[in-house]
Amino acid sequence: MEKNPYQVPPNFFEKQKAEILSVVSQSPQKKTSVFSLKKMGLVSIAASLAAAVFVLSPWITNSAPPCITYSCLLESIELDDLSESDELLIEEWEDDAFEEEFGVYLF
Amino acid sequence: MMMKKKGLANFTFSGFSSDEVLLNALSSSNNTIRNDAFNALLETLHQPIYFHLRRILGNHEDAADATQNTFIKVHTSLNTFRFEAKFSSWIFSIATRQGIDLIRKRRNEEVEFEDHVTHLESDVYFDGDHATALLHAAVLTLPEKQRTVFVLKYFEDLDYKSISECTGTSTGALKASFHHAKEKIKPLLNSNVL
Repeated sequence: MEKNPYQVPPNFFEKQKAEILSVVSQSPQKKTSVFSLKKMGLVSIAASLAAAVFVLSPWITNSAPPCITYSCLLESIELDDLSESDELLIEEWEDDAFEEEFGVYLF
Repeated sequence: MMMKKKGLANFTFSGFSSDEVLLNALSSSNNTIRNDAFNALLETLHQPIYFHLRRILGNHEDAADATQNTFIKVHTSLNTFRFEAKFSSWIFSIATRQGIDLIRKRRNEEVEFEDHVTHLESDVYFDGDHATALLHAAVLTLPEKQRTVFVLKYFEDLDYKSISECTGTSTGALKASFHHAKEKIKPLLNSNVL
């Protein structure tokens, strides 16, 4: 049996034991919590998936992408839904007047 | 200091009849019960864990840090112990992991065998003759896995089953690692380092 050549500073074990017991008595035993790292990860993934589904839902439910520009909104309005005077207005409006009225520049 | 060698299965915790009883006390919400249990745990395993890490790491500072981290990790991870191994084996496996992590952190600071010998012989907390310094310096030159297996087998005198529980490695691989470690150590013990 080999003699252990390693020594420690005086009272090392007593001091370290006191430090460890101090940490153990201060910090409560780890409990399973909704805020545990693993659960937070799962919650984040679930939240991201829910957000993605919400954002993509118009693409999922309709074949066409949702309107996010003014011109798209205009195009999406069925002419049948407009009154005759509205149709006339759209046809008669010059590009310059349209741009001035709505601040939208046509190219 | 003379350390009595023990197999991992032979560790007993004063005042606690079994691992289960100790685990219940360690998990108690009552501070006094929990502290008494942790005190018993430290009484039994503090020194074995420290010297295990000292042999793997070679210096007091690293061994002290890794020992403290080991017991704090034990405290915070008690709910992950599944009674698949002895409680003491589980704690040794945590300590071994802490030791390996430190070896990996020090990997960039490659130290030659001769420097390990010089460092050990000038260490005020090393009380061995030249031959002992050569042996421990040779151990410190081994790769982490071989070093761990050699320390557990040669110094801690554990059987391969206990080492397997500590390291999560098959006994066949452990035997091969121990053999390679011995082959690397032998020529260093015969070297002429002054």
